[in-house]
Amino acid sequence: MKNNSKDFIIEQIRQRISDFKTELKEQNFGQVVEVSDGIAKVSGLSEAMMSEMLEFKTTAGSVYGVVLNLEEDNVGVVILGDCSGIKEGDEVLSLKRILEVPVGDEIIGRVVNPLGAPIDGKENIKADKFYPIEKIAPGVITRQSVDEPVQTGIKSIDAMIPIGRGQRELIIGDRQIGKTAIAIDTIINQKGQNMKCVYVVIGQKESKVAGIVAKLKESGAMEYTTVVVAGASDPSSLLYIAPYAGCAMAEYFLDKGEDVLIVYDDLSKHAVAYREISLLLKRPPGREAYPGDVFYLHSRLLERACKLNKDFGGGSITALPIIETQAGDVSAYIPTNVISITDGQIYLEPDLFYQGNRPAVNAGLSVSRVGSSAQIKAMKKVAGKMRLEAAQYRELAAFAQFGSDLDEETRNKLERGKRLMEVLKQGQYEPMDVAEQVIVFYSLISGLMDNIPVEKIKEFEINLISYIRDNVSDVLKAIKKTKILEESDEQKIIKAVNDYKDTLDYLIQ
Amino acid sequence: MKAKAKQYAQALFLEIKDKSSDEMLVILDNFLNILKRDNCFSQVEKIISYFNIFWQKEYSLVEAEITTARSLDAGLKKEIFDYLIRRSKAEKIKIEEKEDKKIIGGFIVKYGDKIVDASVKNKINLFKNNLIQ
Repeated sequence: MKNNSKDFIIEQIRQRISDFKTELKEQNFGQVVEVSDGIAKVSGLSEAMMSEMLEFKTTAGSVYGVVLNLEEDNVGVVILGDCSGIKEGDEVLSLKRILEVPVGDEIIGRVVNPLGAPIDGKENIKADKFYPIEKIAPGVITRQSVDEPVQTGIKSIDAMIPIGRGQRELIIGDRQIGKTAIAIDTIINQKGQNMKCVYVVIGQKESKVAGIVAKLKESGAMEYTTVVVAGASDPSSLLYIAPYAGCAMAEYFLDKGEDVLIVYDDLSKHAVAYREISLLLKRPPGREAYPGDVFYLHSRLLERACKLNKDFGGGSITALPIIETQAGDVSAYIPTNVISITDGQIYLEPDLFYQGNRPAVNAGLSVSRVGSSAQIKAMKKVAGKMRLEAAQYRELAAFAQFGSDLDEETRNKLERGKRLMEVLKQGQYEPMDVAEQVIVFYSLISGLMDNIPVEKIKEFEINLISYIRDNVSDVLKAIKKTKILEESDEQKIIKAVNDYKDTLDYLIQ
Repeated sequence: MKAKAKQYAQALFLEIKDKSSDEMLVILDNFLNILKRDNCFSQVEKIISYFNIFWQKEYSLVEAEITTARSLDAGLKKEIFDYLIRRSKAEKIKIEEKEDKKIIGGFIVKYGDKIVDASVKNKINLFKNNLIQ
């Protein structure tokens, strides 16, 4: 900054002042009739539009609001921010702008509120572009079926419930069972995968958010991630707009032809916030007191996730909505709604979690309706057999609890299944590369792990991977490059695993 | 079914329209009796405001409010008056003048649910926001 001389600064100030022009314009205005719980009724405003921004002039400064109800004589407004300063009779100006958020490359690595204002204590965001938070989802002509994978780095998901770019995969389960952990691991694993991430926090504790942001920073994931926070202490109006605002930020990258991963954590709190707003606006309550349009609330949001075809830039938005169930009840109103909207779900089960199978993914109830077409060929080759083994194990394990007399084939299946369950266990913040996953799964299904004791599987897996990295890294490279598991590579893997096993002393004879 | 404030106001307005002042008093008496019968006195304020709206619409009347820092001279007043006639397409305009030192200079005109804020205070605020950005 060699231009930082006194004259330059003075010139800048002069320039800014002379550039400033005001124009006189006629504005629509109204008066607050009623204000309560973040909702205001405003009379006048005959030209107000749906979801238009309004400015409340209070003695303490301006507060903004959004039109949500247009009635005969007044409009219903949700207040975005502190409503305690607003009094009856206060003036309300219409701004003739639909609610919009700043978008652009500047928001990457930032923590912002749903209006796009930074809350990470860093400098202001200077965005040139603004996107409306509500947008109609891309149409049929612009879309294409899902054909590229999202590598979550989680073995049980990448193998059995694969997710494709542009897919909407629900993560569902009780509280404290690792739903957020799956989403965060997936974000961390996107490093170097040409993917931007948006993590939308809806009604979570600020302490949890701070922990997540610190973890993302530590693992270098903030270089491509934006965190949109509407915390538990924010008014429900902000909770309500948060996922739409996050999606608008993601759409900027989509329009540039990039791939985006967006996590909504979580949509049950979003539905609750919308229920609160709707009831205060005196909209009639329906099932579980949710308003009639609660399905549309989520369907219009999740429809914005898409995979565009080449003519429209080829970008994608992959959505990972999270739903928290109460005592495992997936047949409640909001869970069934979101299950039916998404292209599959990852169901996390408390029993598995407490047995120590973490991530507690229930492979039977979890499905991915479109992801298998996006799986890489090498993974497809090993995962098909694995899914079969897992299903057989679940069935036999239930039987085997009763009888002890088992034929040899059944016993082998059970032993293999135990090892499979052990392999699928994975720690938090330990995403695994897809090529390494293929090798582990290959050695499992080809029976190479059958003579490793179950309790040693974890140790064996970790050491095997480092052995492979050191000795046959060309196989890893080949899988990554061609995405195919060649016959010759299979032989190399078998040889490497056997070579490594020769160095061990805990094999079952 | 109970009538709404707007319906009361409309009924009253249609009855009273084009009546002489003697008739009007009788109608008003009757109207108040009806309100008493229906237990609707609490709605009187609302009825009056709706009545006002109907009246202004029928007679093309607009109420305007001009706020200035200093009192206006006749020439300026005429100019604002002409502007209001042109914009609101009303035939008659009732202007209420207010003085408020807090706006520093310029003026604020309000009519119907429109506002034109040409006060110096507003400009300073806009300028401040512009510099902050």
